[in-house]
Amino acid sequence: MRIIACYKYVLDEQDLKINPENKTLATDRAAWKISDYDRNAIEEAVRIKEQLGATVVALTAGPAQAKASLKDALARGSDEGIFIQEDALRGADPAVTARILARAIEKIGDCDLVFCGEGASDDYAQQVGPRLAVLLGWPVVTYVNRTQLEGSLLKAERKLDNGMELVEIELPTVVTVTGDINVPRIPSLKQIMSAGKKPMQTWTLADLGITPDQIVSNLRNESVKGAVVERKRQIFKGDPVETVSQVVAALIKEGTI
Amino acid sequence: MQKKFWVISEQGELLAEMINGVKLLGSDAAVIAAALGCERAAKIAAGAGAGKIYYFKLNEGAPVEAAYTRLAQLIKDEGADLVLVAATRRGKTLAALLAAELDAGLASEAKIEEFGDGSVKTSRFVYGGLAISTDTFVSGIPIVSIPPRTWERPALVETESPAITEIACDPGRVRVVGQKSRESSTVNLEEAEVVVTIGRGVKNREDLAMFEELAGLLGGVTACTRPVAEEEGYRWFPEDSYIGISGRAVKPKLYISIGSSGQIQHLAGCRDAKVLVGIDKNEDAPIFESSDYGIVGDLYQVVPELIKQIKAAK
Amino acid sequence: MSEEKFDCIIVGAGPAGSTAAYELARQGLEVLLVEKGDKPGSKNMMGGRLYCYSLHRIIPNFWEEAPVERRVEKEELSFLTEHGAMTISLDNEVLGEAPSHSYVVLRADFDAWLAGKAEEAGAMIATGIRVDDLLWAGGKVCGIKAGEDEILSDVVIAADGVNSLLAQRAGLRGELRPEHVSVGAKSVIALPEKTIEDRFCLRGNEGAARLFVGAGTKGAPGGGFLYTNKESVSFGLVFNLGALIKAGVSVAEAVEDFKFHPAIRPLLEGGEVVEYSAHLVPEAGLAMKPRLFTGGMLVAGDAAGFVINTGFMVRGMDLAVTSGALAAKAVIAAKEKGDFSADTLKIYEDFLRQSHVYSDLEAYKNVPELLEEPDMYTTLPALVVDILTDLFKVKGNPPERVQKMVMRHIRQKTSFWKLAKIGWKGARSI
Ligand SMILES: Cc1cc2nc3c(=O)[nH]c(=O)nc-3n(C[C@H](O)[C@H](O)[C@H](O)COP(=O)(O)OP(=O)(O)OC[C@H]3O[C@@H](n4cnc5c(N)ncnc54)[C@H](O)[C@@H]3O)c2cc1C
Ligand SMILES: Cc1cc2nc3c(=O)[nH]c(=O)nc-3n(C[C@H](O)[C@H](O)[C@H](O)COP(=O)(O)OP(=O)(O)OC[C@H]3O[C@@H](n4cnc5c(N)ncnc54)[C@H](O)[C@@H]3O)c2cc1C
Ligand SMILES: Nc1ncnc2c1ncn2[C@@H]1O[C@H](COP(=O)(O)O)[C@@H](O)[C@H]1O
Repeated sequence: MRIIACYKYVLDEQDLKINPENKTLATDRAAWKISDYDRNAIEEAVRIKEQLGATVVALTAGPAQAKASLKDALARGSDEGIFIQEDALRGADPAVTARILARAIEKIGDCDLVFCGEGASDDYAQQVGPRLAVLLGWPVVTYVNRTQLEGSLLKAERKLDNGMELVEIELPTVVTVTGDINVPRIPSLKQIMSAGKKPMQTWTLADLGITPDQIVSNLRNESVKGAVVERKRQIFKGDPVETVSQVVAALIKEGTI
Repeated sequence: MQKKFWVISEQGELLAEMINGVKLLGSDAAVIAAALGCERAAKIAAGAGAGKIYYFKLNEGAPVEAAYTRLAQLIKDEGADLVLVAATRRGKTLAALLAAELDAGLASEAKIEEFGDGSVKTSRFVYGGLAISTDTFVSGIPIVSIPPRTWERPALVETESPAITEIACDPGRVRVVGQKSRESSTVNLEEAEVVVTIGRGVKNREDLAMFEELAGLLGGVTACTRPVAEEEGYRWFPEDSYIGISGRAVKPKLYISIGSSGQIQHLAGCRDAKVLVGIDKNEDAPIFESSDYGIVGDLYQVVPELIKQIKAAK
Repeated sequence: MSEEKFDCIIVGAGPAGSTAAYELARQGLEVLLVEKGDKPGSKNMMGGRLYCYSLHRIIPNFWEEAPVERRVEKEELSFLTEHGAMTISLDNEVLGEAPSHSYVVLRADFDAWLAGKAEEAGAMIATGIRVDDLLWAGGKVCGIKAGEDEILSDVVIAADGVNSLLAQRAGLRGELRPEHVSVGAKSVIALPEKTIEDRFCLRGNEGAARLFVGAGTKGAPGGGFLYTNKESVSFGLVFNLGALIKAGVSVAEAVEDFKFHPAIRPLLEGGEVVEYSAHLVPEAGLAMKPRLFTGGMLVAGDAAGFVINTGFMVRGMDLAVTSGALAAKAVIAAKEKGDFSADTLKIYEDFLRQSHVYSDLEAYKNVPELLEEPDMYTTLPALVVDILTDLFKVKGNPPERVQKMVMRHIRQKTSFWKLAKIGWKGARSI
């Protein structure tokens, strides 16, 4: 069995700063990370592998710097890493991403199960999983909180707005996972060391037979602007009786309580 | 030509809300509603004034999203100037499936900023709520998923109507074999004037009484961060009562955050609070960057003192 | 995997560790570089100014490819009282001449780059891993332990910084004592490039370094520094930890107050703090040097106490680079002999003795003693500032003769005898 775990390499939102003058995002000091819930996607694929035996392929598409993520994805237990390098993917429409990933999955071939995160930490569009399924001609199960594989039958629990839904489905299928499906492992030294020896490949769009006109989006981005509310930031520290009385006095003074 | 707006949901309330909302975009538009798997929703849509209603009758064991193939066909046949899908988790899944099937663009959980001749401009949060992305549809059918409570919800009226057409769906390949409904929040967070929110800094479930007391004193309600609602070991609140980008958005006069580090995904849900008070023992916690007033200290000392002093002030 | 053995494991991807890894990997050795931060440099907000000569010997003209911020071409030293400042300023193009020049660097970027060089050269890098202990066989170090994992090697280089756990575990040194370390606190404050150039009179990639003695440390031994980056300034204070504890001052508060000093405030105006961190600095120099080797192990960089702290200036990166390279050289010599015992590895100490590391440390050997002189931080700055103030201020009174005025100030604040003592100590130690 071959399982593909799709992950996105994203800027860590905690490091992003907003330029006060024009509200643009300053991204140059920000670190990159494997998107939060995609770590759960990789972990779930690896857990199934460890229980039932399988090959896990970690798959990501993105601009050049995303290549650095392969080692991390492999240290988390994947067996192979595939990186599709395309600079135009920075800030791309998930429709375009899905088109590229679908081609890559077809090229990898012979695959039964694709895991994605419920949504990427940066755009949280929650689109790539379902879109991939349509493009592959497969079904999809979204917001999955628990999986159990019996032969080629996947039993899954979906976490929806008003409760759980238990579903069954024959492979192949796409599954998107929530953040509480598992606790992703923190790679150990040996896992990191072994990652360096696992196979990694870099493909281009040309390798996938994708032409530039096939990655045109239906949407045009106009702007990405910071949206942080300015607050007074009066911070009190020290004796609780003191600090609380200062805050209570301030709240009373401004008529909040 | 008269514009055609589609509104799609499995919930009548959300259909009614969107029907109400699209009237603000174009008063002479024709509104076509798709009620997925719920006959009552179809009737509510009729009551709310949709001109045409499709009731998608689902096969036994098929999830709501299975409606997407037939729905895509109908949209193709009849045309659409704008397709709105209520952004529940099912709705978001269906919207993405539909968009892929129609080879269309989709703005997830977005607000419609402009709707003009042939152009739709939307805005949505990215980076956990740190920034807003503004996008314009330049081709294809514009599809937008709309967060619940974007618009005013009208009083619900169920109307039997000849405008309701029943549609049979493909069964799809996913089989639903069970449901577990969950306790849902009965608190009207959106209207609350004071919200007291707790995070993972609270140690025990028994401690909740203390926060209830504080909220009660201020005439407010309690809520929590996502892990406190969802994570193993917590789950102290109904899952629909956490505040944040993937949870609920509140706009109280006073928001008190206790024992939550104040990550951006959480803060995105209380950005409209008039005054924000943060309490955390870690002075480097990001909550203090986003507080009007911050108290650095152990919540087990600060909160009882807060209760005491508010009582005294009354 | 478990049978796999490295020629050398290096713990800590600071300048010392990455240089050692680079040198060894270049010679074709199997090297593992382990760093506890998520990225090399991610735990290293510190430093600021890199003297280029040492790394230039290893990677010629490295500044052309490394992420450096600005080349220092303006040096200023200020003596501060609570309200005033007397500044000596040196503006000389010679300062910018290679390879004796210096660059301001941001460690998060610089350390990542240098570790990247080691990786390119063939070293294996594992980040996000904390080494917990050493492995021993036959009285010699033979590897490391991190979590559950044990990895073997012929030699371990401890380049794990001032708090070196490994040097302690190996019994090469004891616990740090407060009087042997300073604590440094640094903020990076973002300012537009244009503002920095205007405020500090810089052009292009010119940079300024400013050092402060006196009021900033609230009279405690130590000093302040301010370096210009491209679009930010690195600003902070260094204190003697022992004195700090005695004075009961909090570092964060002192930094906060220091920002409002009249000599500092206009330089930082409108800036936003984007990073803040505090870190220890070894300061006792040769006096605290641990033993530098044992069977199967060497100690380099801050872990070995190779830092020169003149009170207002901290210099450690260049020494870290050289000691890292020399540790690598010693490992290669041992490998050639096929013997990694203490007896062979002690050649490291010889290499150090022949290098600038020991002569530099030797030259500044007495500085710590001077640093402990409280008058350095209170009386002296006040004296200088007040004398010059009287010199420049026109009061409309009959002027006092300069010599008389100077004497008056000295008598008021101290005594000739005390001044002479500081002068003597100063001359002896620098
Ligand atoms: C795509 C995505 C969407 C997300 N959506 C949401 C969302 O909608 N809502 C949401 O809440 N989160 C959301 N999250 C998760 C979010 O990123 C944070 O992980 C989460 O908000 C942290 O919750 P917390 O503040 O309760 O916990 P923590 O971050 O663990 O903070 C606990 C705090 O308690 C303090 N503390 C501990 N003990 C005490 C004490 N005795 N006294 C005082 N203080 C104490 C600690 O110092 C700490 O700061 C999302 C994440 C992702 C990736
Ligand atoms: C405020 C301040 C200002 C300074 N300014 C300057 C300056 O302007 N110029 C200058 O030359 N020097 C300056 N220094 C000194 C300089 O920072 C150090 O001398 C230099 O960083 C030493 O390099 P190193 O490689 O020995 O150690 P470090 O740079 O400290 O690197 C040690 C590395 O080891 C890692 N590590 C530690 N323990 C473990 C473990 N158990 N397992 C795995 N990894 C571990 C750490 O995360 C770290 O990355 C300053 C210091 C301070 C505090
Ligand atoms: N560039 C990408 N490369 C690989 N997988 C991706 C990429 N973008 C998104 N995904 C996957 O699709 C999921 C949903 O992304 P999104 O629709 O952008 O919220 C993510 O959690 C990933 O699993």
